[in-house]
Amino acid sequence: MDTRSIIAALDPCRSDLAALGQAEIGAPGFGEPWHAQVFGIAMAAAQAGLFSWGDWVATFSAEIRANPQASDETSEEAYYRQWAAALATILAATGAAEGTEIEEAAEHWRRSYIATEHGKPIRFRRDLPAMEDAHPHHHHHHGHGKPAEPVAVSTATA
Amino acid sequence: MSDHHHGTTPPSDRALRVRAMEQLLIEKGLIKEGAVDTIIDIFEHQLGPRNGAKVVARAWADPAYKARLMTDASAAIEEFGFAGFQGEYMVVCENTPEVHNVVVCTLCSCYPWPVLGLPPTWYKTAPYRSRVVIEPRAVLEEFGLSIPDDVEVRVWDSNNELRYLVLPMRPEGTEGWSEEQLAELVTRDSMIGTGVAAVPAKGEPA
Repeated sequence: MDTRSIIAALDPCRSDLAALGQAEIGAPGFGEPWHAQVFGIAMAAAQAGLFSWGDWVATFSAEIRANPQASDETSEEAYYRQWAAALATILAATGAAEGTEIEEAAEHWRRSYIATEHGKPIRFRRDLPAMEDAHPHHHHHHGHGKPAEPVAVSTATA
Repeated sequence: MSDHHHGTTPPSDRALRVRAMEQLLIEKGLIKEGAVDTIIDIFEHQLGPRNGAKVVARAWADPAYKARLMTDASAAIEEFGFAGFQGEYMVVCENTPEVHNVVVCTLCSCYPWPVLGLPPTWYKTAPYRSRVVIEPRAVLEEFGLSIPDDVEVRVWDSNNELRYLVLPMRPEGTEGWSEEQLAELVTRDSMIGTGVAAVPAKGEPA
């Protein structure tokens, strides 16, 4: 990663650094729901006394040094990847949650998603079997060998 | 309707692991259900540079408040109800015709959340974190901010205990303005030090 250019580290869509802060007074929001969630978990865990904020900063900054932004990542992608990795590290170090537990619960979450009808709230379940087919789009049945069809057609009038 | 319902597409593996972390902490009783959502809600709806702008505007308008802000920033900021999450201590750095201040966190992204909300993306990048210390004037130039040679530039490194807020210089031509009017001139970057307060357009305020 080029350590010289601030612009290069940001989303390549952004090109004018001077325009980034001058125009708006608002704080940036979270780019993705899990960014908000992983940020909030670290803060909630620190508030609950699982670790001090000083320990968090030490763990997070060590992760940033060890696994810096890659050339195919935006700065935001790198930042939340590092945040999530640091959280896993500190949860394991404090005995709050081991990596294997996290992987196991993540797999149950995945199965819970796949087993839930689209549009219904996801209920976390630990009793679902391993799905022989992990990809939900394979569960879609588009008729018997017929090609996919549009859901609506507005015919041409001229 | 057929037996085959359409399942819900799971989010990315990374997002699933994050859900798993929260799940485990709640199951073990280590954090309360809803605690994470409460924090997210505060960051999305209550914290942001408008809070800092109110602090700056009052410091401009009220010399007694400014004196309190410069001696005990945490307490003066808490007068507005803005307080830190981890008990971090706030320090305000005042810009003058002789000194320009700029804030960084060289280690990660420590930032005065209560008054500025989440940091801008560039604040968290490795180039900003390293270069603003080595060549602050060049970095400020990239933000469109030219600091005259006779002005000293001070770079402040935030950490888990100390968070800095820059008090920008009050723009000329704002005599007699209300705090609300003044706050409109305070940009986020002027409180980080990568910008200055906006200059009032001629004839403002109406």
